[in-house]
Amino acid sequence: MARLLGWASWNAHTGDESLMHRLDARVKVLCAVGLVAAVLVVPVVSGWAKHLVLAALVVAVLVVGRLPATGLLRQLRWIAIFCLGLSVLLPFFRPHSPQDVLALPLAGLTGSRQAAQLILSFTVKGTMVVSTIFVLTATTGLRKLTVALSDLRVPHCLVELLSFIQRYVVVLGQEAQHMDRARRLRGGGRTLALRFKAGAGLAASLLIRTCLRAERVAAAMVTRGYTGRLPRITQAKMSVGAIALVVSLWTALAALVMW
Amino acid sequence: MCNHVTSGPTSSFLKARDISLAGLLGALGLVLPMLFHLIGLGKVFLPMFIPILMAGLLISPWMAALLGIVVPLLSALLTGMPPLVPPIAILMAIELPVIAMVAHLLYRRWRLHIVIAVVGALVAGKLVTGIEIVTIAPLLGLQRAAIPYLVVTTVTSLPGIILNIVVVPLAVRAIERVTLVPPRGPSGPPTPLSSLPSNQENGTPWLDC
Repeated sequence: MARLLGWASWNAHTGDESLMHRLDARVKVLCAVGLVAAVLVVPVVSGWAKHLVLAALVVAVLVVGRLPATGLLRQLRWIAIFCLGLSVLLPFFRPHSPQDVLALPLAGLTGSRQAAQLILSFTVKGTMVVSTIFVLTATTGLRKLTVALSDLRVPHCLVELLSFIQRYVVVLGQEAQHMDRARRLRGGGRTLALRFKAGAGLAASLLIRTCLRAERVAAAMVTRGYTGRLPRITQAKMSVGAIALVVSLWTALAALVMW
Repeated sequence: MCNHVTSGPTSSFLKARDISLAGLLGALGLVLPMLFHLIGLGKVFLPMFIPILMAGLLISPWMAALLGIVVPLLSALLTGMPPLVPPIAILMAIELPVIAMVAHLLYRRWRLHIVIAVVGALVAGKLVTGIEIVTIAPLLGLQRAAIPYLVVTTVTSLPGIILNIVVVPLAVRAIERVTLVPPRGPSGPPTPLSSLPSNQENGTPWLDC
């Protein structure tokens, strides 16, 4: 479970303190939004030079963040699987016109040039978006991220929901660990059928126990004066340097997109 | 010594319970797909649908819909699946709130049987997916691939649909038995305190300290 949570990058990789880790979470959110928007807006084939600049920016951020490459590769594999699947289907995309015919280097097969460009676009844009978001989540952590979102005036119900989700992933993990330990201490299951039965029972009681815990949390919230809105944690105001960084990045990205 | 509260839930408690249960189901919506994807069964068994359907059946419709929007996007941000580009996560963020709302409407408002509510919600979800694909495919230049894609996704997700129809009603009924989920009925003013069983009568431990 702990490996699972690590995979989901719930907690920032606090072991390596880099410039990206120390940067204000609000600045990181705003910069990531700008970068993702620029990547999505610029077309890949006709704007490949712009994408090279954007890719250089993403790589620079990854290097500065000093993050483990394995974490990024794990997230990128979904895009790889999807795009590989589409590539296999490329011969089945029939070209619209003679100009759209693309000769494939495989047994004289042909495909659609437009479809191939689309797959390339998915791959390039997907890789850059995932890399940007990976840097944001891995160097910030969900707790700081929710506080930053709250400070950036994101609707309170959304922020509350995010913070509860983050808390309950931990709760689910703890409950699952307790019950799994208890199951193993009682001997577990020797055969596959017994193990499956024990696993199903464990999942069912995990669900019930966490639901009961959710109600106890709700009761505790009411006891502490909850009236439908959690108190907002306000951070210090953004520094002039941070604002300047966001404005300059957004200006540069806008200039790049319009260039 | 633990002081049991003998009156039913108040409006504040219902709000708190809604957000608390939504958080729990949201966490399940992130963890379950990871577990299924680890064994390569994510696309077949639709694990993200289970907690969202449960949310539609158990909590307020707006909170369930919000959960349906948040969970696929958050999962995409944190784990990379479903992918944001191509916009599978965005398509799911439109489909899942509809599923949650329809489930709530059928089960809580129209008081239909829970299995009918789940089937109805899944059918509504498939209709929304169909509309999304037919609308978006021409924008991506894939208009001829839209119908085959729909057929393939529907057929491959059949085991997941069956799993949802079996697991969700059982789980929801189990939760309703042990927690203070309000009785079914049109949502509106909070449930009268006297209509709910007291903590001592049904032994629910919601305020056990």
